[in-house]
Amino acid sequence: MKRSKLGERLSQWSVNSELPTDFKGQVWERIAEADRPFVEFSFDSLFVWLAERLQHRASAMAFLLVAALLGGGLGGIHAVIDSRVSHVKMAETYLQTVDPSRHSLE
Amino acid sequence: MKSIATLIVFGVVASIICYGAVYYFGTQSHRHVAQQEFPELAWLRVEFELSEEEFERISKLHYAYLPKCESMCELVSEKNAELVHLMGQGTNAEEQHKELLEEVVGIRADCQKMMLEHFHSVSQEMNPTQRERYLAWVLEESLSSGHQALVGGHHQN
Repeated sequence: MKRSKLGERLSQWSVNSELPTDFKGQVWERIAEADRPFVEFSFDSLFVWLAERLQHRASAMAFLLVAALLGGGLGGIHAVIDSRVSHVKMAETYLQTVDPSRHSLE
Repeated sequence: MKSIATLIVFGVVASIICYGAVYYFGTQSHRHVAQQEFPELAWLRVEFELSEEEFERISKLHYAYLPKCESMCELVSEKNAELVHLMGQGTNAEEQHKELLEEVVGIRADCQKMMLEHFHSVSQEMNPTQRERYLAWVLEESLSSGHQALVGGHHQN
């Protein structure tokens, strides 16, 4: 059978590179990495993840907005509680000035 | 990392500023009431939505009533002290004890009558809706405390 020119060229072609010494080890590492379902949690990794996200201006602004809303929300709750306490105190003060029996309870 | 730390600091500062601002403005009206010369009247004005004229008339009634209330309170305290002293003397002063007790009951009744008249006068200066609210609240509070005073007095005796 006559060999084609392509066939002759292919037979002459050879690969002379060498595999890295730990090639097998690297392959198994990559397989293990791909098989791992999720990264173990640590505060360092969380901080790095957060830092990457907050690099963008929009994320940074959103972070500031959330912080401001959280502070405002807590301030509002505190104000409502203090206002109720103040209301009860004022009501009792009024009653003490007009109701003699409240004086005699003291 | 420095910029992230700075951002977090800004976030905390923004949070604190917003907390303070909302708290300050949220409690402004109550602080204003508490800082008045007669905070109980200022509170009454806000609570029962009194107009300027209503508030003036009710304030006059209140100022006129206070000295009477105080003198009644003093009288009740004096008689209670006498009663306690008499109780300490044992059964020899039984007749005096009875008379004093009747006197105390009479004073308390006059006190309560005067108080109820005051409530009625004050309520007449309010609009109908607030009048009902005021009377319902003040009568419930005063009648329940009156019961406590009576029970307390009984336990004292």
